[in-house]
Amino acid sequence: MNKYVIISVLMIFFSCTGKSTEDQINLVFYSDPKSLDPALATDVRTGRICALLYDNLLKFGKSSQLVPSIAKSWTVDKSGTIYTFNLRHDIHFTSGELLTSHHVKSSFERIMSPDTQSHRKWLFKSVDGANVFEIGESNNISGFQAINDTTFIIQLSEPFSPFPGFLAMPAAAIIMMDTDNQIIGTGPWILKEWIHDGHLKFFRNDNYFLGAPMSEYINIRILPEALPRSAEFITGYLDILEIPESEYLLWAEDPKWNPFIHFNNELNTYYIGLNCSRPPFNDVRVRQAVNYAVDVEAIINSINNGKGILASGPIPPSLLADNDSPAYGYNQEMARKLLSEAGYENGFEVELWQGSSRELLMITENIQAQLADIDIKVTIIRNDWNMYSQAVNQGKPDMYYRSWWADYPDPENFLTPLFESGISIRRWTRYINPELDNIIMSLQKETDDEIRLSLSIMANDILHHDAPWIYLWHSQTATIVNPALRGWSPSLMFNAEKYLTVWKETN
Amino acid sequence: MILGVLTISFILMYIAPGDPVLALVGDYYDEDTLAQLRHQLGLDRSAITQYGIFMKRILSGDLGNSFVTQRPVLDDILEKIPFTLQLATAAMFIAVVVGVLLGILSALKKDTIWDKASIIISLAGVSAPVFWVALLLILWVGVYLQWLPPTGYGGLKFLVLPAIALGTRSLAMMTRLTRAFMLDTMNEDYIVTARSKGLSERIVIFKHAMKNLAIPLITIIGLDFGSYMSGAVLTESIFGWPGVGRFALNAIMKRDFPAIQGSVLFMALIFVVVNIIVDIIYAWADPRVRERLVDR
Repeated sequence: MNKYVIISVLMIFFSCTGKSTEDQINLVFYSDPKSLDPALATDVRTGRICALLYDNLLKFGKSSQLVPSIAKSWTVDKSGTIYTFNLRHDIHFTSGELLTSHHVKSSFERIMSPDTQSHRKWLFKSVDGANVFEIGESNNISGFQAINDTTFIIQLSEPFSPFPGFLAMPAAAIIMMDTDNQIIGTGPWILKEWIHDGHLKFFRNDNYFLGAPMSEYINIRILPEALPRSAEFITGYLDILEIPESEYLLWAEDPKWNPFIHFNNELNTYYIGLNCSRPPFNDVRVRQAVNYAVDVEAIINSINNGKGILASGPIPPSLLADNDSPAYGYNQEMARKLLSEAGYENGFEVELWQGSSRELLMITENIQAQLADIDIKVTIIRNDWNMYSQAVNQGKPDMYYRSWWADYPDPENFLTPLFESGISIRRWTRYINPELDNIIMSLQKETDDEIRLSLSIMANDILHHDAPWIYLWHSQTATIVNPALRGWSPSLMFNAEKYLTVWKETN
Repeated sequence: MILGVLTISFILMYIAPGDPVLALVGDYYDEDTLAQLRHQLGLDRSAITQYGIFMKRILSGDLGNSFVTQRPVLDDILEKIPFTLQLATAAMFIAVVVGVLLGILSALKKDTIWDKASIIISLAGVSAPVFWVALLLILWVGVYLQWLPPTGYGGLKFLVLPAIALGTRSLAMMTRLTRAFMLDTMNEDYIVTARSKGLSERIVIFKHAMKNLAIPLITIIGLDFGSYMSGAVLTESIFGWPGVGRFALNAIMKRDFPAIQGSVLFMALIFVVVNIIVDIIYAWADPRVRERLVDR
């Protein structure tokens, strides 16, 4: 009998180690999404989930362009304040109900309602009547007008050109609430199961208005550690894996895997923020000096495996039609000269703050060593993200390592939230420049693309010269995919991928 | 005791640096949203008021809603307990069965290759950090040999590697304890008597000698099981196991006060419950304890 028990146990353990035979795409997140509620979507993971479950009036295409989604077309009037959306009339919620412009209105008003506790109210702050609704003095937002089932108008209190981009963000998803107060969407996928910190499983919406997805299921695993994620990919339990920088060469130099690596130039900027409100970085010459003193290209080559584009200013070149100024470049002599002019020929001591990640430490230690060459003694302070973030807000660090990722693909997104004087003084580098504020304001209101481009280039040049940051790079992500996977390519915006035409070829 | 733990945890959270609201809003926010959120979450009230509200809520059985997910904390913890219990039980099972058997083997084959191998295993088990053991298991068993899935959960095959990683230290402790105990015990008069009665060696070991090993074993099991239940953070993170430890760690990182308080309460309760169970088992296993209780 003992023999049979042993054989049975062995069979349980070893006979069922095969991969899922389901028609399923296997993805991985580093941590759980915050919520399935688009109103709470401030993180990339929740944004990606929202893209599966819901649709927006507009959506991001593979690159930075906005494409129709629920809205078939849209127009903006000459004043730049009235947007008219012509909605499709063939979209149903997964409950079966037909989507109309009234759902659009209620979805947007829900974001602004105090009861929702949304963290994305700024999306609709510029809509007419939003402020009185927010403080409870009106029961609807007059700037959201459902003219008929398929026509929806948004009236802004003043022109704001990046506004259409807001409508493609996760928080602007169109939803309805069922009788149990559960959120229902129109998206290509329907949630089947969510084990928090474990996995999320979705099955396809066969009635999706653009046609049912080609795969039957999506399974998203939550794996916080890098090595187990790679192990899962190698053994076939994952189909798409963003390669950690530390493992990049292992994959890239393996001829078996190399052909299946995809690269994506991300819409972001990595930088060292410099506190401009006090010495030594209140002097533009010192800020320029540290920009010259750091050999960013060497860091990109040695730590980022050559992946990344040198940054010359905050705005990624793809948003400037590649008209950005040349990067500072490594020039120790110039750095010493500028320091000497500023009265710091003997250098100084500063603190460089960063998050707790060890990979970041490799970068900051490199910068520390390079600045030591021009007698700037840098002390690195590591803290968990929350403490670090609070310290940056309070203006404690002289320098801080950070990155900014686009919420929407517009140069304005790399200017207002970071450099508009009112925000900068409260949260970031404390850099104040009324001239730049005026340019940002014009950029927000201007609707002509040519003029907007020249304003963006002008802002980028000013920031390049004034150097409130040490400009590092715009990163490039390497992603490896299962050789059997078809139809996938990286997207510029994190919430652009809906996995409609992604499928696995079986033998 | 539980009230003390909750009070200390409240004070620590209150004085700890970091702002829970910052973890909610992302990088792009306006100041009005921050102020509204602080007000809605009650973070703009005095420490005494917050403490009063917190204790009132806890005493009425309400752990509140997570700041981050807005889900009830109790639901989150209840969802995770079965996973943690499963992992802790499996780890303890492996530790006890393998650890005791190795210890017995080592003692019976003293100074042989078996004994030396057992000593090396137990030394390595005590010394090796759990994350290192976990990564080795994933690489060798999961990736190179492909005998078992590297990570995940959902059945016996997923449980083996995390249970071994988590249980290795206890296994090593039990091997050493059993070996030392057996070496002391096997020359005792009652063992010699049992042997002289012609009983088989198996009965001598498992029926007579092992009985007295139960008390120190229960002590280790109780302590380790309590800590497994309350925070196998590394093992859970590496193997993607959705347990209580990871939940608590995430809550701390995001300054999610209700989730931290809920986790602390759960951990304190687990230690109290496990200690009570251990005391009951003591009384059952040791007649002297039983008699003392009866005398009282």
